Amino acid sequence: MSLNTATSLIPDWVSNPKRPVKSSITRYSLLAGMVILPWFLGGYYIYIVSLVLVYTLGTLGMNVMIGWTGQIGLAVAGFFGLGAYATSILHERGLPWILAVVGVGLFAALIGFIDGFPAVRLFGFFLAIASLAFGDLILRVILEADGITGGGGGYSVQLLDFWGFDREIALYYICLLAIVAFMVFVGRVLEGRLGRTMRAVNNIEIAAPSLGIAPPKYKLIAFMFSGSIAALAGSIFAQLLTYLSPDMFKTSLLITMLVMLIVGGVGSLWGSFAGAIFVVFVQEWLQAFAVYQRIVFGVSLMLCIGLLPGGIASIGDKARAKFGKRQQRVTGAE
Amino acid sequence: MIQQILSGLEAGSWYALLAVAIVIVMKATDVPNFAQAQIGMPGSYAAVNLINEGLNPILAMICGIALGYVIGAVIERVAIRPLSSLGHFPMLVMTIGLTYALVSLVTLTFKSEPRSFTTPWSEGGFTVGDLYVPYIQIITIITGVVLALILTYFFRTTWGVRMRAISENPGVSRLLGINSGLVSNLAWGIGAAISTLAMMLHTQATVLADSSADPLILKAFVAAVLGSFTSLSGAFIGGLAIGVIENLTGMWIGTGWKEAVSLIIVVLYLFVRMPSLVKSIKPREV
Repeated sequence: MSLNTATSLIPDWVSNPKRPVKSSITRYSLLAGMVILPWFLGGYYIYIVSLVLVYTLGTLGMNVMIGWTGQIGLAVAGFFGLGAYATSILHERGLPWILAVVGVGLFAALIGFIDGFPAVRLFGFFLAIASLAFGDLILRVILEADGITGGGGGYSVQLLDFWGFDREIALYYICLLAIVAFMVFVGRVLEGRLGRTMRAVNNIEIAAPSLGIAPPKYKLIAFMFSGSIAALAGSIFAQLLTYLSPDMFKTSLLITMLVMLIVGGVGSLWGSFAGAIFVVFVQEWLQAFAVYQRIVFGVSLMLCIGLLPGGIASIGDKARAKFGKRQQRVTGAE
Repeated sequence: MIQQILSGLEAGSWYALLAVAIVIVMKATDVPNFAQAQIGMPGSYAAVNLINEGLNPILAMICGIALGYVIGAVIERVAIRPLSSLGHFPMLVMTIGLTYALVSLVTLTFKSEPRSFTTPWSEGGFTVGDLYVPYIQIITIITGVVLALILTYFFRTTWGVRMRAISENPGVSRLLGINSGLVSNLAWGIGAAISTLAMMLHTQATVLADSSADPLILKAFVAAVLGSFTSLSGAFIGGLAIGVIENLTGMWIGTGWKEAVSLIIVVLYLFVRMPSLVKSIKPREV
């Protein structure tokens, strides 16, 4: 068992390196399907899918932090807002969008370093509260700097110029590119040395130093990484929504992202995707009924914690484990 | 200045009561309850409805608090106790889910338009020199202090000692014959009843709406952090201090900073006090 508190939500196969690898055929056919999707779906649906991808990206960062390193950082909504505002403002001031995204990503990593600093010596829900307050502070700064951000009145994003291409489809491809790049990058990194080290920091924090691992370093890396990814997701989010207001990045966004993380499955990259699909589906389905949305989100959080700690991502593994066992028993009987 | 301090103490009493409720729940069941403010909403709505039906305000408030107790106890039994082996993060997420579920159920049951919580003392006040003091301010502050004293006394009684024992070492206290289920049930009930009272005082001074619990919860958590999540008096004084500091910042620096100051306090406090806080947390299982 570990000292950290997020562990009980993480299915065993995250701590166990021999986790079943999804077959590459599934992956490539899914990717091919995503690439040709705009030929089959209309503008509105493409926008919805883009939203799913952006949310997945934002949740990925939180997933790496909570699922791998076990640090309960809850500032992700603030970083989302930071990315959305900073990139849009720099873009409006004449910086090319892609440069603005990279710059803001680096800046967010720096802010993530500051946010993660208490994590070096603080754990559990003290850290959760510190980072919750930190995320809220980012939002306060956005709200107070109304000279540049428009404050509570909102901010109209200067749209990207796609040289005549259809805006929705171009944005969709940007989202797809970002998500594929990060899925591949994060997948590679987390299956490698860094990922194992991060898991060690989560699972055996006390023993880690004697193995030559400095937990603070990896905790800070996790915070910087997740801040940076959330900011990147925020930058694309701003282009999708075309209008920003500080209210959009309040605690309700954090809770939405927690729903994606928990319902999808902590510690599973595909789980974040599944969680984002679930959230966006509920949001669109119950668009006019915010109350029912909240009920669905609240109850699904509670049910997942109580009944399905690994989230949607663990359903397949559970079924496989059950099925596999039965097969074994049959062969054993023979 | 004195006016600002008084209204700071009033807001501080709301935070302090909620923080005390958070600490009680934390001590007895080791759950950081993010829904602590929202848990007081159904009771407040029920009390307003009873007053509109013509019931005596004090009786209505007592009914509301009793309802709060029942809701807390039921939630503990249904949603918290079966999961008591989980860590802080799952429980935090659980109570966040509870927040959404509770508030939306309240909205569906009582409709969402804001209403005023009118009692004989919620309007009017008296003047001392050139200082105007609303009755509700004085009542809120006094209620907070009295309740804090009662709770301090309660934790010296057998039940209080049992509660503390459970939080010190659940295993051994169970071996000594303490009914831990009953104790955690009591803690959630009392916590919810205190939250209901805090929400009633808050909504009498402002307005009762389905979002009126939202701004309180983070500050209550900040106050609980100031009490290291273990000390009732620390949480209470922390809550009062936050209320006063907030109002003075609002007056001296600007109203925009009013909301941010408690967040800055908690981040700085955790920075400075980290080592001693870490010492106060027991490693659970290694």
